[in-house]
Amino acid sequence: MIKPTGIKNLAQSFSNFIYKYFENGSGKMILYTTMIAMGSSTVAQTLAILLNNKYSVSQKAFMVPQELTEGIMAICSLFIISKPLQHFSNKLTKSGKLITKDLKLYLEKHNLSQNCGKYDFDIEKSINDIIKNIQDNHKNLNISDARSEQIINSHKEILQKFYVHSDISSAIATTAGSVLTTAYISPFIRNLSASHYQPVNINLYKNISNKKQKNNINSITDYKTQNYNNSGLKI
Amino acid sequence: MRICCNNDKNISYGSSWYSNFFEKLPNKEIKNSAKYNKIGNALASPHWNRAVIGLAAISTQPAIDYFNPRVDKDTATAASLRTLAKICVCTAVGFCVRGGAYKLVNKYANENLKGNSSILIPKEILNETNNILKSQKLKLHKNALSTVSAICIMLVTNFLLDAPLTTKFTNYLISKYMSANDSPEVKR
Repeated sequence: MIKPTGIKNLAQSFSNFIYKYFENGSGKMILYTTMIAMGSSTVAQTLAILLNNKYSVSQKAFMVPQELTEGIMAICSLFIISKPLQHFSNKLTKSGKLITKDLKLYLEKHNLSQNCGKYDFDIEKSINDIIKNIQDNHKNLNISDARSEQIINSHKEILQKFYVHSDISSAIATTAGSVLTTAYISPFIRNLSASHYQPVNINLYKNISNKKQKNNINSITDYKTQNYNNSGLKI
Repeated sequence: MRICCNNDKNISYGSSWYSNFFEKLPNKEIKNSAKYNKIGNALASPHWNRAVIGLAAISTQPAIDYFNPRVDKDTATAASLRTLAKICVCTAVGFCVRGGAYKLVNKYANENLKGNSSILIPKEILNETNNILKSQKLKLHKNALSTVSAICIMLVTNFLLDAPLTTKFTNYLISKYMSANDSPEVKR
């Protein structure tokens, strides 16, 4: 019988492993998990096509490369579409090109709104600079430690709001990339690839099937009879 | 190429056409923050993200397969029905598995709860003094944990649920299509 402490230790070890492995960001995690998920899904669906006897040879010859191309496309789209879109969305939020009401008011209050939308402007760095400035100079400005702590916390609150805004815009951009790939790009490319490989695969299946038959038949008469009835080849 | 210098320590390189294009884009202020947060949080959760992608796929993929001019009608029909069945099954299973993993991780990785409820939070996060960094790290960790857990489960469900259910649903759709079109068989 498995003890509750055993499950607890297992869950803790798993959690620590995930933290150590993906500590430096979600990029590596998204890449690996998508590759594993798409890889296993593609293998499972390809097997399902090959084992389904409702499909004819020509249908299987089309569907197998269609499924394989879809899996490859899902992984490639991460690099070609999702990553650049995510980078672009990060740039939009960091520069203030896409901004929330709270952040805009904050920038106006600190005379930084004129930099909003400029390529080199970085909201996160600007807020951190303000916090660092207060931490370094609050004694020179005759501000008590408690008061400076209060002021710093209010700036940190804004920084937290910026992170939330950045996360949300990143999630929207990544989803938009996935939708673009899944709904429009992938279906056309996989159909092109599958149509290209369909005749090649039909010949391949026929060759395999013929070889199997040659091994099974003993007389030429049997061979001719079986070959004649062979219009609906199954794999 | 040009060099953009923010300060002495931080030098970044960027292409001038990209920065020119970027600066020409209009500034946009989000007025309805509540709605924006709601949409963003929904898309950031793995199960709703899967549902959105599934809906997008079902709106175009079966039609693109059905009207594929490069294959014969029977193959195009069978491929279209298989795509429809696959999207329905994979989206439903993916939604349930991801949603379950996400809820389970959120339940057991809640730092406000004591005892067993914080077993999924590593010491490095619990000991973090900066609250902003702590919440960021916790959020990233929860996402990573729920995604990896869901993938581990899906390695099994892809073979035991998705593939057989897709086959059964495709065969059902093909038989329905055949009877509706009064055709002796879809396959050649």
